[in-house]
Amino acid sequence: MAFLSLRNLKKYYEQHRAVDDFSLDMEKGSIWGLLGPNGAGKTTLLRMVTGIIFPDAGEIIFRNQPFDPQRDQQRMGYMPEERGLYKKMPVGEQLIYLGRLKGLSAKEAKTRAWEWVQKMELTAWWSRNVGDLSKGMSQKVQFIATVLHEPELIILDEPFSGLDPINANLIRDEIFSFSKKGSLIIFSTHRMEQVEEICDHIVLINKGVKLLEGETRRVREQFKQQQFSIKTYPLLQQDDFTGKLFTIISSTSDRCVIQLQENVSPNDVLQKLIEQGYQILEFSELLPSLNEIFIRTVQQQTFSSSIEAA
Amino acid sequence: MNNTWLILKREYITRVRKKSFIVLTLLVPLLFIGFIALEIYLAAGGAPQRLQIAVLDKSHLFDTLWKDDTHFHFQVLQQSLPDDSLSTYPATHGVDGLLYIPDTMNILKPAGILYFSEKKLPLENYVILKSKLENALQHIRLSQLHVNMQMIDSVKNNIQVNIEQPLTRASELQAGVSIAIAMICGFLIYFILVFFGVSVMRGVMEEKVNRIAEVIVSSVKPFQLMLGKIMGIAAVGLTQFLIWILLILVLWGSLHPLLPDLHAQVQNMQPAEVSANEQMQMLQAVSAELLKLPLLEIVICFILYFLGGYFLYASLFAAIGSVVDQDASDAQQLTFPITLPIVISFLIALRVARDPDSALAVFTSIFPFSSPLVMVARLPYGVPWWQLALSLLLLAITFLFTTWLAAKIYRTGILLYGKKVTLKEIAHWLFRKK
Repeated sequence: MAFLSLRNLKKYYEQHRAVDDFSLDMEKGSIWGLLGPNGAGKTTLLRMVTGIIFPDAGEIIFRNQPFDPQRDQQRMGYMPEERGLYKKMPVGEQLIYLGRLKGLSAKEAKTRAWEWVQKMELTAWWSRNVGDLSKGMSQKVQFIATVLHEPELIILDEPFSGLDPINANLIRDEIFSFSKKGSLIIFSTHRMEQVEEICDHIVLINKGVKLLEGETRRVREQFKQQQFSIKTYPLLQQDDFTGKLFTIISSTSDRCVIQLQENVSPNDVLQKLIEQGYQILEFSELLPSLNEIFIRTVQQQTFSSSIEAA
Repeated sequence: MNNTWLILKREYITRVRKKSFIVLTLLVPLLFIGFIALEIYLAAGGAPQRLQIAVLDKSHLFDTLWKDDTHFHFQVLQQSLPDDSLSTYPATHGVDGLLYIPDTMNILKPAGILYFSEKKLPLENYVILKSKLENALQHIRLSQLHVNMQMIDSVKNNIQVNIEQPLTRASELQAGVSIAIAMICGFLIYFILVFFGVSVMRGVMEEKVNRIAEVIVSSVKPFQLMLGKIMGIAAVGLTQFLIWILLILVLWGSLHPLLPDLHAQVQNMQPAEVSANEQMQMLQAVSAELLKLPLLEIVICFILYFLGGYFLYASLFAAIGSVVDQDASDAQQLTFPITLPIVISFLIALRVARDPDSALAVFTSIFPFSSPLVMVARLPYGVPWWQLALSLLLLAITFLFTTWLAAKIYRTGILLYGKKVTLKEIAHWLFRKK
């Protein structure tokens, strides 16, 4: 059974369905990217998983038991999209306080907070108020507060927004190391390149409905469209093949992107080109970026739902 | 429960450490003592003013009157002065003023007495001088009627009557003391409800706007967060009161050696009728009356009503804080329906302090939204135990109810950003199941 299993979750507000019949299984040690346009229901979904709000229907199974906020919240860490810390409270005290709310003893919270502050290069700020910190620094503090109790389930809403590349890397590395230690990490973002880089699984949600899920690599395979980048000498021209094997979608000064016709294999293309006396300098398959998949899937859903409405 | 305790502790410590708390806590007793000292000082009129007054009594009716005392030093002029030099006399002769009594003075129609001076006669001196003259006139008239002064004195002697009301608890003095205590208690509760209620609301708004609320409720139940805050602020309030009482006692004690002086001043100003002795007796009588009141009962009930009223209203304030979003005018609009009953109850309490057994008093001291203010105002007069018990019971039930109600609003409101909440939506939150 999955480590975290969402079953037919529903959350309806008066005007709209924020989350509509959403199911998903997630295993320990994986990093899930929760993708979706603004207002897709990501935050509502995450809030249900953290026990901040309750689903109208459906259930959440966590560690083989129905999710019980009282008991299970100590095993999870949640970093909401809009960061929140007490501005007039010193960094160290704040971390200890938040750690204790997660069930750590005063002593343990202090030791761990100090270790993390060292790791995140914030020691000079230990007794300064959070209000005095820059946005990036307070974000690091927020991250520490989220993971101080070494949760098995870490939920991050847009964890990298407002971080410079160095600090983003610092946090990314910590996310990887938590995943290696066996924590399940879910994060939501709009930034597709981060998802491609970090997440091994993705789930796409729009209008409260799950559109797509799976391993990042597989999803991209699934969406590939038989497109290849090819570099030849001389440069390919459309006229040469009259569209029998492929069509040229775009070309630059030294290479083209081609779209294979149905039932044509890359080998067929290569064979033909060699026969024709082209020198082949480069040939590689193009996988769609998550960005494209994202846009394509969302548009498709909008399209089909508008047909339905019509 | 452990989490609520942590939240309470944080709330308490951060608030107690604030500069504003320390300043307010130290300042109030100083102001209080200063105010009382000033009051006594003003009542004594500072050092009594002793005026040098030249007297030109052309009627010679008052020849025996001009004896020096604490307020006046009289200089009786033997020779008459020209009318046009009267007004300049004080300046040219270095006296404070000139009292002029014309020879046309008629004991049946006394008129034409003039006082020449650059400076107005101080009220105190004016009153004393006036009564001296009136007394003298009275004596003259009586003696003209051949009335024996001794008879008059014996008639006046020991004529004071006290109507005691052994069945209704209150002598006049006692009533005065009770009114004072009732008003002070009513005002304190009023102050607590408004001041700390608004503190709770501000705290909730701050957590909501800061978005810290979302982080916290991913660790604890929203109800625990709300309760921790309310109890933390209650603890801050109790601490503050405790420090105030201690400081006032200590300051009062250290000021006490100075007080006899002040008393002495009070005595000096009094017209001769009230002796120093009577003053002291008065003070002793007041403290005796104070001790006769059911003080322990008052203190215990005061604390109970303080807590009950505070929890009742603070939870409502918390609910409002959770619903508004940064916009201060929204907050004001929504707090109005809550502050209104507090203000009305306070006005009723002031009235009840004088008339503790009216139907209005009995009803409002049992009705839970007004009882914290009104009942404390009734306490010094003694309240039938069944009324007290009923009132406390209703208060407890009501505050449990409002806390439950507030928790429902709070839970949803605190996570709702950038949206104006309508009353209809709030009602919807209340009636849904989960």
